Amino acid sequence: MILTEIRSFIRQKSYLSYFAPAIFRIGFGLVMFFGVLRFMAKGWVTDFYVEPTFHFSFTGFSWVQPWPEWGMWVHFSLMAVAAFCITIGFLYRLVTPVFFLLFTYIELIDKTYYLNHYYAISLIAFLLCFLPLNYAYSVDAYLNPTYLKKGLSNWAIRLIQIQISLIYIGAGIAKWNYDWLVLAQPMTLWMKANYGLPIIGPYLGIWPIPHILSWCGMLYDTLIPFFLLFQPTRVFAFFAVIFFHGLTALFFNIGIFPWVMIAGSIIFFSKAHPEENQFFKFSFREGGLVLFFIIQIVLVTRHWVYPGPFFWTEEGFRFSWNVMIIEKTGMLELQAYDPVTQKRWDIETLNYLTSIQARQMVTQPDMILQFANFVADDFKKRGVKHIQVFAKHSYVALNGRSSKPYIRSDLNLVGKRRVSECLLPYPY
Amino acid sequence: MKLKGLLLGVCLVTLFGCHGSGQQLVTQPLVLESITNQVIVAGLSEFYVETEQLEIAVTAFINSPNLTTLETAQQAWFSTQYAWQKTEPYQFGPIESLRLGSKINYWPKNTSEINAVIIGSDILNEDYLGTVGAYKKGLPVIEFLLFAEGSNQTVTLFTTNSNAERYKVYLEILADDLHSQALRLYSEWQSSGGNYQTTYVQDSSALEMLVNQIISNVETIKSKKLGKPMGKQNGGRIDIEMVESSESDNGFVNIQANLETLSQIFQATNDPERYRLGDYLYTQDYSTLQNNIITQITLIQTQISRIRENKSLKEAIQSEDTRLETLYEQFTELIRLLKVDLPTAINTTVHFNDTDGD
Repeated sequence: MILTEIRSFIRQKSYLSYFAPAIFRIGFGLVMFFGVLRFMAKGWVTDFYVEPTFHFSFTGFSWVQPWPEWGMWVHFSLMAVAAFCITIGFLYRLVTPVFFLLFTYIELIDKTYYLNHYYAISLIAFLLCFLPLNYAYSVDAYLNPTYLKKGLSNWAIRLIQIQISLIYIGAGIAKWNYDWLVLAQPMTLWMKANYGLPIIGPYLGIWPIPHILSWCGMLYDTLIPFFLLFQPTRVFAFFAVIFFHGLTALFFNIGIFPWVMIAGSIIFFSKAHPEENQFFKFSFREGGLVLFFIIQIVLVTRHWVYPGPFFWTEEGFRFSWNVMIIEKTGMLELQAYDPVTQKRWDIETLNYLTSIQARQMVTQPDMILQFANFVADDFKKRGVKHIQVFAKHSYVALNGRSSKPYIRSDLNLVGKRRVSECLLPYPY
Repeated sequence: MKLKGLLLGVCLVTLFGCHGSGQQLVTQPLVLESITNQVIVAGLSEFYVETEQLEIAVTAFINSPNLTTLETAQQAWFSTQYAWQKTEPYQFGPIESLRLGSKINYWPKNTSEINAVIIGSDILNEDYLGTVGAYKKGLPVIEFLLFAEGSNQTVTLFTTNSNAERYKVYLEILADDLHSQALRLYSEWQSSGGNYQTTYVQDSSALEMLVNQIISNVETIKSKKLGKPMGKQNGGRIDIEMVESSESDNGFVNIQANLETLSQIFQATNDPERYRLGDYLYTQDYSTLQNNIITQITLIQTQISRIRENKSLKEAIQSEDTRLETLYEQFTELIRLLKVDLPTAINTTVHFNDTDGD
């Protein structure tokens, strides 16, 4: 039955476009499945969620805590199973929300491991919960061939296209800044870091190559969704996507991100079933999804209401598609002080945090505040009631510039929640 | 066509082939190769040779325990310890994978465990050291046996003490084991052995490994070699037991050995046969940073020399010498230069864990 259906579509010109959303689902599921296995194989489940005794929780999500070790392994195993089920389209309506919840839960445990592409995956996984991408090339469709006949409505396809486009355009607009376009930073740093590549390596960091790459990156991110949406340029744009993300995979340590975006661009080849050619059938469900996009746009633009340059303050930096636009290095030495006994303690960060947590914290002021307060709580538990915590030495170097003092050293950080009152002014 | 090709070639060479005023391009591979051969492998070779000398001196002392042979053995220990300390800024690779670091220099030492070996009944031979923990072997234990009781008393321990024979055997197998570990470490780097030197130079993250280890070393000096005994992490309570090489009162010399290697690595030579990280920083237009690092190292060396004029590290800590506070803060400044500014300059990242990023 299903083979007959497929053969009839093969004879139609719209074969690729009709099945593109299903191919997208398979691509997304496969990347997730192998991504989760890779995460487990690298030992990151233990390194990131079992070993640390403290987690940098997101505001309002401190209740999201890791399970005990066996629970974390079960969690990740279930996530792999759910991703596999998405790939083969089995029990799709059940496993998509399961995957979304499992994945997002992990993402919300600790800011340390926040990545833009994890955020993108959460958003896409959320959308999949509402879109029946199991209509073809799936076990579900094999068991119930009417799925194939129904196809996928145009609005469903458009939603995923809008989501992918938002990511690209957001990342493109984030690159409209002086450092990226005029100084070609941090591109210059990254290109120089690829010095060891055969033949081209030594030349990558020399002017004008980083400038050309910066501008190409900005133009690519800003414009590629339009080229993908426009039928005459679609194939060209798709090869550009493969080329661009292939290069990023070669140059940067960004894990599964290139493969997520390549899989995502497949959706632009989609075309609705001729019988369901309405762009939008507005209903409560679709209305909710519009709100979903509005929230994303608000998150992207929220940094405008925070004081100071957000490269420096990092307020409103996450969930804003600021993909690879800054390179920061830093150091932090906290000192605890008891005004009653006048005793001082230089805090050994690695007594509390793992090395990756410590490394991520030193350049992100909200994490520094969280950590300072955590240290204070630890001292209070040990009976030092009036403990104060100071950032005795805090330095950051931004986008290739020399290091500058970052957090005020004269301010007791205990009880402080607002980054702006603790940071020194932007020095560059 | 040929002319166009030639012109293109000339343009490329003009654009990319040289840097600055006709100076040869200082590349990372060139720097890594010279540092590997002339600093790392040479340093490990020196350590190996010193352990050989120590083994000879210890044998002479055991065969004839007296003040003269003891002093020779102690001097040999100082030289070996110095050579070991010089390797600390590049202790990565085989030393980590084979866990040789703790077998050679595990500190702070556990003196009660060492004494338990002496008064115990375990058969002391080469196999014995293979079965015991790191705190019962290596340089700190040899130091304890050679220095802990003062020279006259030490000679007595090896002659008239009721456990004199066990002292002798223990010291002998310790020196022998140290020599074996030094040989093993040196062989792992040598082209005729494990050939890690080739593996290392070809590793795309070679410079990153070196820089991370340098930073780790400087942070260790500050927090562990100075901070802990000064009571910096425990509310100001001085803990003299935490001083490295406390029996020989060699704490400052250890730090000076570390700094000697740092200086070697960062000092620009302007000699293509002996390029260092300093030369690389110069050609990357980071000469100010290179100068700042060298200046800071020099400042620290000068400060240590000043304090050493009348005090050892132990004495300075015990007397709460304010010059130590200055020294401690000078290390903070060095850490800032190495940890925050250097990674940018050499286009690498400071980290100790593998992860994705964007």
